[in-house]
Amino acid sequence: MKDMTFGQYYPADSPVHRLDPRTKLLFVFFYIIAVFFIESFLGYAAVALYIAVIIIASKIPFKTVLKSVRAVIFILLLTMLLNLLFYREGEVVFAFWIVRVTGAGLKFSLTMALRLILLVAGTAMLTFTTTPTALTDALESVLKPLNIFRINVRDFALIMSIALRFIPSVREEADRIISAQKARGADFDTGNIVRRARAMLPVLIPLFVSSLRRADELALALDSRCYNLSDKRTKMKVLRYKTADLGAAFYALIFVGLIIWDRLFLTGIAGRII
Amino acid sequence: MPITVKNLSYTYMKGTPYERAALKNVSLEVEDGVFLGIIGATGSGKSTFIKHLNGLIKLTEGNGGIVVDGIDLTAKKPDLKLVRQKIGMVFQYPESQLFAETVLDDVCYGPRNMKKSREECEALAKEAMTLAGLDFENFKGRSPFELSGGEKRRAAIAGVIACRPEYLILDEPSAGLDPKGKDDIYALIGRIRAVDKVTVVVVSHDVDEICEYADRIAAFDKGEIFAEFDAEDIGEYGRVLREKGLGIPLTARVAEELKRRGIEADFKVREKDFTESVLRYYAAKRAVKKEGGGL
Ligand SMILES: Nc1ncnc2c1ncn2[C@@H]1O[C@H](COP(=O)(O)OP(=O)(O)O)[C@@H](O)[C@H]1O
Ligand SMILES: [Mg+2]
Repeated sequence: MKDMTFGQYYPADSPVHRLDPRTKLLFVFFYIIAVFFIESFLGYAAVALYIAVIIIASKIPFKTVLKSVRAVIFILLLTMLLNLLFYREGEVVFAFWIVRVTGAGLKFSLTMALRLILLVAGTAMLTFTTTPTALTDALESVLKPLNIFRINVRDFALIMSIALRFIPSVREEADRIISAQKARGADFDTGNIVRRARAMLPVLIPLFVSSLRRADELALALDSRCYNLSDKRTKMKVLRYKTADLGAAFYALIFVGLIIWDRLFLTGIAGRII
Repeated sequence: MPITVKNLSYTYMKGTPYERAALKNVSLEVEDGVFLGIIGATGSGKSTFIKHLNGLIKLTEGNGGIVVDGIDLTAKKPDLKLVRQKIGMVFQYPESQLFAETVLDDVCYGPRNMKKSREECEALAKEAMTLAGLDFENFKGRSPFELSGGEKRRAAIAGVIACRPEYLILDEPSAGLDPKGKDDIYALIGRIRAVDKVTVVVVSHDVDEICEYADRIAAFDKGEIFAEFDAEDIGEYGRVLREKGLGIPLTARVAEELKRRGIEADFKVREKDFTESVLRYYAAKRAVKKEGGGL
C-alpha cells in the first residue's frame, strides 16, 4: 500500500473535520443533487468554486484531492469517448470514416466528465474529513426513521462499518499475496485481457479463502461479546450538533440557490434566449 | 556472488500524513553459502528490507543501492524476472499463497511461470516436496487446503524452492507453529542448504531460534542495523540487544550467569554445543582436581 487509498481518512485539525458527520452527510446529499441538476458550465464553475472553499477550509492539499480524481480517470475517459461517439443529435462538427461528432455530443460528454470529476472530488471530501466510524454513526442516525419499516438500521450500520474497516485489511492481504506470487515468477502485466484475468486467479482464490475465514472469526468474536442480546445499545460517543453545524447548514443552502439560478437563468427559459 | 546492500533507505507513503520511515541507511553484505539471521522487534523494518532484495519494493534514486549476484537493482530496467528466479522468497504466513486444487499443481506454479516443460515441472516439484518433507506420492493429489498448519507451510515453501533458487529468504518461517512444526521447518532449511549450497536469510524476532541455526546475525532497530556479528559471539552483545528489546538465547544467559559466579570458559551458544562445552568444562575440572588430589 504505497499510495493512499481513494478517500482514505486524512487526519488534520480543521473546521471541516470537526463538523458533525451528519451535517457533512446531508451536505454531500445536496451536493450530489446539485451536480446532477446543474447543466450549464457557469453552474459547474460555481460548484467548483464552492467545493474549493471547502477544500481550503479542510487543510487538505489540492494535490491529494486531485489524486482521488485520478483514480477514476479511466472511467472518465471511457464515458467521454462513448458519449462523443454515440451521441447522434445536433449538427455534425467533425466527421471521419464512421465517426461523427456533433456539437451537442461534445457539450454532453464534457458535461458528464465535469459531473464525474465534481462528484468524486465532493464525495472524497466527505471521506477525507470523516473517520469511517463517524460516518457509520451518522448513517445510522440519519436512517433511523427507516426503523418503522422494520429495517434494522443498527445491523445495517454495523455491516457498513465492518465493510469499511476491512477494506484496508483485504487490500493489505491482496498486496501480500500478489508479492508472494510475483516472487514465484507470476506475470500480471503482459498478455491480452483473458491471459491477465487468468493470471489473477492465484491471487483471487487465496484472497477469497482468507476473507471467508476472517468473516467466520469475526462472527465468533461478535457472538462471544454478546452482540444482539439487547436491543437498546448505548453509544460511547454520542453525536451532538454544534453551532458550527448551523453555519454549515446555511452554507449548504447555497446549493438550492445555485440550482434555481442554473435552471431558470442559464439553461432554462432565459438561458435559451442567450 | 553475494548480495550487497549499500545505504538503503525507504519511506512508506511518502508525502502523506501516514508517512513512515521504515529503513534508514542500511548496509549489509550477504556472503555466499552463509546462513544469515535477521533479528529485530516487530516494526523494525525487517520485512521491508527483504522485500527490497528481489525488487518487490522499487528502489528510488538517491536511496542507496542493491546488487544481487552481479545484477544492479538501481539500473534503469533491472532484469527482475531473473532476480526473482535467483532469490526464493518465503513471506510471512506463506500458506496464504496456496491456491491450486492439488499440492502438486501449487508447487508447479513457479516452474510453470519459468516456462518449464510439464515433465521438468513435475520433476522439480517432486524434488522440492521431498526436501520439504512431504512424501510425493502421498501429498501430490491432495488439496492444499486440507493439510495441517505445518504441512501447509511446508507445501508453500516447496512451491518456492521448486524454482531452484540460489538464495532463499524466509520471513518469520516458524511463526505460529508448534515446536514440532518449527523443527520441521529448520530441518527443511538444513536439507536445502546441504543439497544445493543455497544461501539462506531467515527473518525472525525469536533470538533463541535464530542463534540455534544461523551463522551470522544482523540486528535491526527502528529501520537501522545496530549490530552485526557471528551467532557464536552473541553473548558479547547482551547489553545492546536487551536495550532494543531483543535479549539473548537461554544458553548465552546461562553462560553469562556462570561467568558472574566466576565460572568462565568457552561456552558455545547452540544447544547441543553448549551442553557439550559445559560437560567438557566439568570433565577438565575434575581431571585437574584428580591430579591435584594425587599430589
Ligand atoms: N505497506 C505498508 N504501508 C505503510 N507502512 C508500512 C507498510 N508496511 C510496513 N509499514 C511500516 O514500516 C515499518 C516497518 O515494518 P516492517 O518492515 O513490516 O517491520 P518488521 O517486519 O520488522 O515487523 C513499520 O513501522 C510499519 O508500520
Ligand atoms: Mg515482518
